[in-house]
Amino acid sequence: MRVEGSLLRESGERPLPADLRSRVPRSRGRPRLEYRPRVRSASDVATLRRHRVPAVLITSEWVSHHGYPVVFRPWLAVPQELAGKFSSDFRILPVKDEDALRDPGLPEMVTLLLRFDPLAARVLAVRNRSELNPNELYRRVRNEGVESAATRVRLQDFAPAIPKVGSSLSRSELRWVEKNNPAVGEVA
Amino acid sequence: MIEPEVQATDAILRRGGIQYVVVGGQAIARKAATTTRDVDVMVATADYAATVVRLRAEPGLAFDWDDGKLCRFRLLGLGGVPLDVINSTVFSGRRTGKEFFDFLASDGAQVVDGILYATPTLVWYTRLLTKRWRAYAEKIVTNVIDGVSIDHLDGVEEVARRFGTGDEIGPRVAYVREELRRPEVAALLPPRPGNSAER
Repeated sequence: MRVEGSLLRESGERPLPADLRSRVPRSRGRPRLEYRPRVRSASDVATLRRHRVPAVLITSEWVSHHGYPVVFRPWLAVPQELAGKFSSDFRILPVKDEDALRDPGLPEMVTLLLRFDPLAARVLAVRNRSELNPNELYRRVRNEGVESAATRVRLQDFAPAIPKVGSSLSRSELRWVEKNNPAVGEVA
Repeated sequence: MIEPEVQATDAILRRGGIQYVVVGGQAIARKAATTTRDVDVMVATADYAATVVRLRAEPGLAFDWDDGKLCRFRLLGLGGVPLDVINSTVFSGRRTGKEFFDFLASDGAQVVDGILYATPTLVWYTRLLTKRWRAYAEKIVTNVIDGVSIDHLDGVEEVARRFGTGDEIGPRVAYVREELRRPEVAALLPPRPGNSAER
């Protein structure tokens, strides 16, 4: 048995555009038609967001723009209950904290990066320290349950309340990582 | 497609007639679309000192430091991206630096667009043999999430046996395998036969 979620249109909301959903073949005895969001581009994600679907495309452009020049294939972050419902060529990142996908800022992106590139999360936090709200970072890390990854890259430096779980990389290793990939235009 | 940082490095090193292999993230980028901008190149031990002297005279490079094993420059035309020149002796274990470089260039690298890039096996081997291997282990995990086959870890152990570095590499490879077994990491691994950490 597995738990799955659904996107339900609330009263007053328009349906998703037809080209953004695919009909799931109806099984015998199933009461209604079921559709799955089909995401092929960043603009599809933007359309979904306009329809209040909590989906976020995590791109290397965003991460690079915030001070960690990197190239990676985008991740489509969606609530974990809905992860199996999306049809997409993007890699799916199931997220526990659905609220983090509503209006993601720096704390949310740092937290999501912890899932697949903790070193990038650390450098992003270092280079945007003045804009990183410690309370928000703490809340997102706890909600997402990524205390272990946060500890590994010492995010307690930015949000001291994050519980320490497991071991941390040494400070000299982290300094090495921070110095190795300067932001565009920065001569470290 | 050649990344601009690699292209700039290649132009400088070719001008100096220096034989090199791209290692590090730019080499991994041939197999997985994840890379940072910094460039690491390895040269044969016998060429190392002369390479450093030659590059210090290059107007497009700023010299940072040299400890005899690794020399850091910055590519001035590209916003100061680090260019690390690495002495092959660091990774040669019980053999000579020349033997390691020859092995890297002949068996552990592939030519792409005229440039010699190390395979993931050799990149991971070099990363796990440094004193900052734990940080690099994180990068290896990210590489596997991005689609590089975990089978390269077997290759790392083979290279270690060849150069007599198994005592150091063995526990570090085991550490990476353990990391890949963490449920939150395992959930993100691409579904492919080579990516089961259970071995």
